[in-house]
Amino acid sequence: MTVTLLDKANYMISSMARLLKDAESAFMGVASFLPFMAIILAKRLYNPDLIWYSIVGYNPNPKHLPMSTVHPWISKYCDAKLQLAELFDISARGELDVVFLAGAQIDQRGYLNNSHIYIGERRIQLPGGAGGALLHATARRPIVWQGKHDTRIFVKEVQRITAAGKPYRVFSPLCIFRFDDDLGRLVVDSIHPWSSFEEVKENTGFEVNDAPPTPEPSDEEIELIEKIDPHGIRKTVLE
Amino acid sequence: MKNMSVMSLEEAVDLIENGSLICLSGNLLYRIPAAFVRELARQGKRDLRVMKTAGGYDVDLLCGLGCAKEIIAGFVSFEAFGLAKNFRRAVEEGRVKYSENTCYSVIAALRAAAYGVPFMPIADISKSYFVKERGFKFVENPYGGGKVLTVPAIKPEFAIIHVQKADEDGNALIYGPWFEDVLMARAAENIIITTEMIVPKEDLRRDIDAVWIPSYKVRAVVEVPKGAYPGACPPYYEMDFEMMEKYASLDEDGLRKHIWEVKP
Repeated sequence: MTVTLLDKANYMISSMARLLKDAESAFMGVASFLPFMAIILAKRLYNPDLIWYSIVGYNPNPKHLPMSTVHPWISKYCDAKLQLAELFDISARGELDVVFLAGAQIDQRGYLNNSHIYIGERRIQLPGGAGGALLHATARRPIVWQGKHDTRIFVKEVQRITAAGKPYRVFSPLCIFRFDDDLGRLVVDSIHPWSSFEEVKENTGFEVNDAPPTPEPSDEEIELIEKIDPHGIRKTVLE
Repeated sequence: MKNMSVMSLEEAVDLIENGSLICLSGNLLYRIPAAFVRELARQGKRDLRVMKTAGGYDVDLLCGLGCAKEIIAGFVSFEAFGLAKNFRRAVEEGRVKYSENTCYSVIAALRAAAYGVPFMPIADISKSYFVKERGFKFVENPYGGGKVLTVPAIKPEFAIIHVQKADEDGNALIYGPWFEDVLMARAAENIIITTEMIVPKEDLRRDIDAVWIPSYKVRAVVEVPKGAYPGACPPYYEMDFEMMEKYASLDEDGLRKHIWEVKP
């Protein structure tokens, strides 16, 4: 099966968008191309009442995917002003449903490391977890995503806990995990059709299971995705 | 300190002493006090403690040129434009201490300072490693219901805020998202305003609904057109993508040249 990075991005965006069908509200932050598009898709196709909290304002309605998902120009397309601090307050009050979070390292508990990693004695400094610590701990349904999948990223236990919480789903370019309450850890929910159980197993630092294939995006979804991101900026997160 | 109002960039930067705790306006590459930061570096300021929820070019430059000794932040990066290399190297080599937070705990520290109280209770994020490293403590809720996590107040000596318009006293207007700027204007002991333009009071009054920084703590007002460059200052200008790319490739010598070549 020949799949391009754009195809892979489309699968991830479509699955994210379908998870938002019953969502009350969603938030995404910096450098979040796939969640940005998933929210637009969900609002246009499945859930027009979905509330979108953005760093730059309340309920934006942008026409295109920008190079920066927190660019102030997006505020021109908002319904109301909303300052960043208030967004965190919304989550702290338990009023935020879905939050999209990225993890440089993700472990089987669903904890994220965006702080630093050690390779032997050498410290590799990462940017920090931004709003993640508060949002992962207080949002109702955190959705974690990563543009790469290997055993350095998907580990049994992160070296530093930047953000702790229970993810609703974890997206990678190979598969989608969900949190199993009985096992108390992530299990594979679906495997993307271009990957396999063997590949997921080989690239994951904790025990994984076989799972059905991820459903493909519909023609309607793909058409809208291409309209929002005609230049294919979305694929850069998978490079 | 007396309100000195309008002055040059050089004079305003001269108010900052080595070792000061400063906080910087904007977010990532938006409405950052870039010209002020370059002048800090040109004047060779040292040992600065720099506070911001999400830093980019500003924090990176101060780390790369040896001006900062501590960064108090939740995130330092150029977002989709790459990593903050100089910040990263300085922290890895131990030249700069990264007092990592989450954006919310930086906001809580500023809120405590702004409200005039010693600490701020926040939601429980105690599984995050930095909670212990920063020394955030639980206290017994005096009204019952168990323990609550707290963040101590941090009162910056200066808030450096770049805005679109200000009057000559330093009453200042922000178009678009404030980020933490209105809060840091309350929390800080002193404010320095750099502004795209100084406008007559009657012009500012016409836009009164956007004027959220009153002048009473403003010690300096500096007119610096393109003061956020190479960052963006909507609605006036977009970031300079080419310059951001060039900046990412600079070594230390290149960085030293950069602060003299890009003026102000």
